[in-house]
Amino acid sequence: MALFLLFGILLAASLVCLHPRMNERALRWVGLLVSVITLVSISWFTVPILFGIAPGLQSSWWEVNRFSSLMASLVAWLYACAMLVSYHYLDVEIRKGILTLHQIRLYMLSVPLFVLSMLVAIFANNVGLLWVALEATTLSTTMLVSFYGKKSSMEAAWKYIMLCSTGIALGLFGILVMGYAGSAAGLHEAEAFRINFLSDVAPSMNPGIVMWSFVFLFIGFGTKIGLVPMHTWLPDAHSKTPAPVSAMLSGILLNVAFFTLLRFKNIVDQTLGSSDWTNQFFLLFGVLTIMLPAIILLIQRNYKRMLAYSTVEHMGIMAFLVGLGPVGMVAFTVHMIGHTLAKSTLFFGAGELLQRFESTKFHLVHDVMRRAPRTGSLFLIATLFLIAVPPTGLFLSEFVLVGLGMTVSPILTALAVLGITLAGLGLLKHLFEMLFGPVVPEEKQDTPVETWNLTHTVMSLQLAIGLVFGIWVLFGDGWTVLSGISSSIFPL
Amino acid sequence: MTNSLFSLLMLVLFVGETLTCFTLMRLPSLLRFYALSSVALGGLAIGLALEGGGVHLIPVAVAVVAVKALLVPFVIKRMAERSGASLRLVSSLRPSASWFVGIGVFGSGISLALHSPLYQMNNMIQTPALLPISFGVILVGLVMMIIRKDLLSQMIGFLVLENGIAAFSLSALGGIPVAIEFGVYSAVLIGAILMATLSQRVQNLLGTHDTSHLSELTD
Repeated sequence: MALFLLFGILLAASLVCLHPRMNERALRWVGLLVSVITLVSISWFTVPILFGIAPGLQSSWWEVNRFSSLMASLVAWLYACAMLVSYHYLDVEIRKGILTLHQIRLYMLSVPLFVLSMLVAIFANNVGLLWVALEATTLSTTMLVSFYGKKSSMEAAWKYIMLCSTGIALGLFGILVMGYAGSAAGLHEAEAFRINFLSDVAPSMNPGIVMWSFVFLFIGFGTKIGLVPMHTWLPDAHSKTPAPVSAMLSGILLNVAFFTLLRFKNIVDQTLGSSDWTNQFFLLFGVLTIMLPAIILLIQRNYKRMLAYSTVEHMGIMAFLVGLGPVGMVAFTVHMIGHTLAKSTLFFGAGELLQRFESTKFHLVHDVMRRAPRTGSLFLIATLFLIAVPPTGLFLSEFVLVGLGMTVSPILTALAVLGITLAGLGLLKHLFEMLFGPVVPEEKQDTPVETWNLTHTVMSLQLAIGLVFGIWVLFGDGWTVLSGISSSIFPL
Repeated sequence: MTNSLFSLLMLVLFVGETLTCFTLMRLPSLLRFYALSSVALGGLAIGLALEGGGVHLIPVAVAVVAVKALLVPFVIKRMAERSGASLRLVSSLRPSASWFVGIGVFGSGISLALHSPLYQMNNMIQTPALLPISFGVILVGLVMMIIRKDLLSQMIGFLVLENGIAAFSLSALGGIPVAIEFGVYSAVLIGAILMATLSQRVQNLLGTHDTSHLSELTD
């Protein structure tokens, strides 16, 4: 009931934005208010389940367990942060005459629908509903990719909708094949589309058909996750949306797609009686997804694209961790949380830089530490988080990657470590050039004195939480708690 | 199902019209044949319902025809006309070569299906003849998206692929629960509207919907 109420609020918030008498200020307030309501409601609903105080829920359409509660909490948190940043970001864009009321309306219409789609995808027990929700995440954000109406935005939006829709369509094919395997194992029509029923009959499903199904699910949802070589849409789309939306796309949407794939992996593993076969996919595609963006990061010329490629690399790390088995799965959970906090902070910072320097090109943004010290410092700290400097959560997850990976697959692990190192070097090389490099004549010279704003507050808060989280998992009982949460989808 | 003359006719029409879509180079005729193939898909659902596949397939058939044969082609055509887009489409292949490639791709899909574990368990399949055909149609849609060089054809390639998936669901599962089916068709309709809107904006911005003009984003 609480969930339906929240879904209703998000839908209503979206529709309210169509009201012709809403001005841009009112639209921003509605967006902010609804995001706070969402955060409070989701916290009230999921926190008891997340910490094992209350049992999960299951019905024919919905399933709420500890892992899905964690995912929903991350969605709600990032939504609130993104709307806080949007409040300031959109205000600046309006004052500069970059955006119109029509565009703000589109923004505030799309974002709640996007969040609603993610929450439905997370909590869906019915795979058909899950598919529709995942497709809706693409549809609700397409117009945000083409938001600024430039030629490059159009190109990015076209790639985004075509590749993601095609990927998700192949995912639907995989779902149908799995439904067929479920039917053949004795499930009735409706039951063959419920994850809990599929999981129950998994050991008696035909392994050949289930393996076929997984190949399509992997290609399909792997496209949405951004695994190489299905990633080509991602750097374009994530670099063309307004910065707060980029933060949500990179920070949480890919995790939602990953979570979807993991739910099917679990069923396939039960059918095959082992996770070895599916783990090979994750290890191999994980290494590819680390290596390729790592090389591109070294030659990157645009800081928003740099962050997007870094996201691809981190999806590779997460895929590799999944391939390492149940302990890797706990590290995956740690990495997912750490990456969400660090990457969204960086995208918020990227928005600040863009508004100040009016370019996303490295060669047109220099001496940030002197000209925008607040943004520069926070950007630097978030980058250190992202490259897994201790005591961050990412340090622990990448430590597990090396330690456990060497026992599972030394060659692939060595390649993964090489890729992670190259990516870190690439990020630092560009970052230092941007933060400390001398100003060149071609770039904007007269940047106003920087003052502390809402975006800086959100960035600081996220980094503080990231630091506490890192200390908790490294020195506290964070690892134990997260082991319990990840075992709700992958038993240890 | 193939025992029924009606279903057999729908099956032949579905394949023929899909393959024709692969070769056509003008938007109005491409949309017409896509709509006709969708009508044939709806006919297959009705044929299955008449043979005891369940009455729930009747509203599904109506939805297929309403969404894919009427609404989606209408939206694409209207958007193309409003933007003044050229009705001549762009492909990497000549029309005559398209027939050979289309039949080859379709045949590969059928061969893939016949060697799949799905077909080897065909005692469970509702309509065995449709299963390999659905594989063929999915591959034809995928290849169409790759070889076509304009936004409108790529969009129709995606819709052909989606028709193949719908045919697979009819074949292997005798359709999926109606609520999900309607969710899928809503997503297809909204997706088509968004794609058509984007192609209209690209046409307005660049004066063409040729995808070779969309190559700014590289590393």
